[in-house]
Amino acid sequence: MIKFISVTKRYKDSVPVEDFSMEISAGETAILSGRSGSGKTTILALAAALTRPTSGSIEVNGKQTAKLPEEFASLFRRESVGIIFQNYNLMPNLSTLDNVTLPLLPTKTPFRQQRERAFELMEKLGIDNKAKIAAGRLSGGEQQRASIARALINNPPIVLADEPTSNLDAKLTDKLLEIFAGIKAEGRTLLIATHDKAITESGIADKIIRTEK
Amino acid sequence: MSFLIPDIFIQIILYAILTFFFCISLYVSVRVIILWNFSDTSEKQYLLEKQTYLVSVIMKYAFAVNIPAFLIFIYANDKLSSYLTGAMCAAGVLNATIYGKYLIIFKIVNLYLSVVWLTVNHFDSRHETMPYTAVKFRMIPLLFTTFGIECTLFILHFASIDPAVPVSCCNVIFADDTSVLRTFFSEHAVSLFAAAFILTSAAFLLKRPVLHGTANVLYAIAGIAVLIYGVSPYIYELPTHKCPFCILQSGYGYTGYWFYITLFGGTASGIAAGVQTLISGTAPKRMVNVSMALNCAYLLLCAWYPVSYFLTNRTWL
Ligand SMILES: Nc1ncnc2c1ncn2[C@@H]1O[C@H](COP(=O)(O)OP(=O)(O)O)[C@@H](O)[C@H]1O
Ligand SMILES: [Mg+2]
Repeated sequence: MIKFISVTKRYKDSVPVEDFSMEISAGETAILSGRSGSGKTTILALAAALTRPTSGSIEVNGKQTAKLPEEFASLFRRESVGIIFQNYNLMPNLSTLDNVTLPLLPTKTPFRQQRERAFELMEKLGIDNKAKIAAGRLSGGEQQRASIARALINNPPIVLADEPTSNLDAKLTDKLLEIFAGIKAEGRTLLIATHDKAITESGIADKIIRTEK
Repeated sequence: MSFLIPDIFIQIILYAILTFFFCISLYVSVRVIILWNFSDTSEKQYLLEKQTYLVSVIMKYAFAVNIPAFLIFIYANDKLSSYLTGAMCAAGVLNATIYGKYLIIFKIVNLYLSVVWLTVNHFDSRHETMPYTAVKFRMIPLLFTTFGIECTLFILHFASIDPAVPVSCCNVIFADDTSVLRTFFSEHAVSLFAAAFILTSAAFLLKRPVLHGTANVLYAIAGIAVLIYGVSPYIYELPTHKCPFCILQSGYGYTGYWFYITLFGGTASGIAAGVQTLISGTAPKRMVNVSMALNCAYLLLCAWYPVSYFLTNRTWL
């Protein structure tokens, strides 16, 4: 469950989110749509407790995340959300495999299990043959897929995706939609910021939230 | 300042830093007292939450540094005793001005208050909802006052020591005393200490952390009294030498530090656990256990010197 009540995020020279409210129930899939610069990325960062609002209430899975002290915020991110970043945020010097298994590092998952799970995801996304290559050397589309695999590896109850198909062709987009359908079928919550028609018109979304002011 | 030796200079710098941090935290604490409302999601409240977080971290380190600084203070006083005619240890130095006595009392009180604050802060930071932040910041003005007094006394004390004037040594200060309070303590130190220990143990066994905390205040006072009047003569092996400071000197193997660290560790954690129980309703069990263990260790330390003296000499002092 993700619930924003009258959330404002203000920077010195811009107000990307102003008096914004939305409610996504547990297990729902929602699309965040709006033109570039309308605050989609900021809303996802707020939902993931990566940044704090200037004012307003943010409740995620029953927790007031906007009020979590930093230690608890990072714990929340680790356990509750998987984030597919718009700019991928991979560690360029680590291999694709190491990037993908990164979220499992603080957990006590056995190494073999980590690898199995990573290869399963990378195979689905067609990057299993890039496992040993440094993430910095991957193409844009490959980086995007590595970032998707990393976001999903620890089965987070909430998945936040920021323009996840911006660098994927039609075939890979279909693959990703399949993965999203699987996440939805498992009853997990999904919030996708996108203006890709392939997603908005696929019928996966239970609701579309507009960010235009 | 006639005695600007490095040890005193360190203290002055510490006070300057502490004062600076205290001013910031006092400002925030006033805002917390007036405005704090955790369920509020306004800009003001979010800003306040950020500020309390920052100030808590700063004050945590300020108080944490202040605890070992106490040892530097005692050590510096001890060192100064060699410059003053008549002084044998820190007692003479602290007795050199009318402020010294109060300075050491306020230093001890602040030491305990620091531990109490650090404990509340510790438990506050372990909860997502910062349940003790308001209490923590309500304590700041009190601490600001007591630290302010300590700082003032410190400056007055060291500024008014006159190296030309001879001072009393500890023998005179602690042995030939006729004041009512000291006569009481010197005559009843052992029984008072025994009573305090029994009370502390009883509260521990009956699982009454608040009573245990209160008993620890008594244990701290009785523990010092018994060290001065009951135990220290056995360390010096001299019935007339009663002093809590000479035992800190190299001649006595710095024994005193063991006594004070044990007594302070035990009583401070007991008192802090009591306060925490009062605030939160649940006792920090490990702290209470640590307190009791250290208090027992202190009892054994206190018994050691008289008993071993008796075993070798077949007589009490
Ligand atoms: N950290 C920041 N500091 C200052 N301005 C920011 C910051 N992050 C985002 N912005 C501004 O907020 C606006 C919205 O950004 P964003 O949330 O990335 O929109 P979208 O993802 O919809 O394109 C932009 O104008 C951007 O410049
Ligand atoms: Mg964006």
